Amino acid sequence: MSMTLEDLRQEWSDHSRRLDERLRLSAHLLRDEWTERQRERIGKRGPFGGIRLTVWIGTMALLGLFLGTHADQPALFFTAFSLDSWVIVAGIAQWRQQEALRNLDFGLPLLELQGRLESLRIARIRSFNLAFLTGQIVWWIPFLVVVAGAFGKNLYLSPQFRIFATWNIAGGIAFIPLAIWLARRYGDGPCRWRLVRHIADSIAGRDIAAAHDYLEKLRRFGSE
Amino acid sequence: MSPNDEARFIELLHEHRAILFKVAFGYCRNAEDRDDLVQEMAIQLWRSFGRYDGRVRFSTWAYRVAMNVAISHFRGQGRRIRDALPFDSLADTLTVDDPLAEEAGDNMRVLRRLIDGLDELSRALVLLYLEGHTSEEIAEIVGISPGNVTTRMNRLKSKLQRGFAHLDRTQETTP
Repeated sequence: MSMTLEDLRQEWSDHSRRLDERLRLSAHLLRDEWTERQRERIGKRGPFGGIRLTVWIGTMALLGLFLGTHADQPALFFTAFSLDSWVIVAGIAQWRQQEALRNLDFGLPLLELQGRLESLRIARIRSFNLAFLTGQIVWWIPFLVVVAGAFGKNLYLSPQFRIFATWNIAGGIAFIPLAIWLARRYGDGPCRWRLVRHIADSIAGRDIAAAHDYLEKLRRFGSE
Repeated sequence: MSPNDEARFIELLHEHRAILFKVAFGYCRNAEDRDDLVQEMAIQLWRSFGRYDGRVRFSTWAYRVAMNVAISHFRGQGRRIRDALPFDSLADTLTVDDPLAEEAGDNMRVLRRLIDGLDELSRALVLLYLEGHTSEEIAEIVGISPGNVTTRMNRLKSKLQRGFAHLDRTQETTP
């Protein structure tokens, strides 16, 4: 067969024309679908999402209240203060990432937009890895603050809890290299649970490596 | 966005709606995924319309948006940029049969198979070329130089021609 792409261009064009003819969309129908309600729903959907924003503000308010009522107990105060700081910083970082994603101009040329998307993806993966891995070390801090706030019990005064917290910190620190090693060693195989696969790819660095490869591919594609 | 802008957007979307389907057909074989993809494209067009400043033709801009969405979808990022809820019924309105799949001749089917084997960026070049765009227009959409488009298209033409020849030989030897 001596078929070339030029030969097929005309045939493709005929198919495209047929597609145009088959389109059932009419301006009238489209206008009907574009209702006020839909517009409002798109407009209302902020970068952070209503529920998440409510949880974030609520958490900050509760921690603020906790700080006010525990100012005379330095250990609890500084623990809650560090937690509050983390909640604020993490929330702002997440909001900025989502805002950047939301504000991406999809009308940019393909290479430029795809490059920006991939850079955002790298930032998002890094944030997730940091939160997931450090979360293993400090998860008991929110627990301690909740117990103090809800039940008025200062767990720092309990020798058992101090031992528990020490072991958790040690275990959390040991978990980080172990989790990375396991994800690299076994996370590449078939996995029934999508979430586990996602986490494994993320902490093993496979996602970031793939994103860097794609950025390099975009650079090469544009530089020839 | 003012009601006038909205009316203009709907008019332009109606006028250039085929772009969405052509790009979706180029990146998606599965009809259900294709409907989702068209929805995503319509949403992104709407969201980005405020930034459209008329410096490029609307069709060029619409191709950029549609292809950026398609490539992101193709690379598995579709869900993160998707905000489909308000558009469920719009997708039904936009639905179209797939004449390219059902009525396509052998050559078209083979070509589609070969295009499916290309990576997302090369696929964009071939689809735009087949739609009759010049190297300059393709360069404007993709964001590379016209010379780069010509070089890459020459390579792709050879690659696709070799693919045709290979498939032809395979068919000849198949009883």
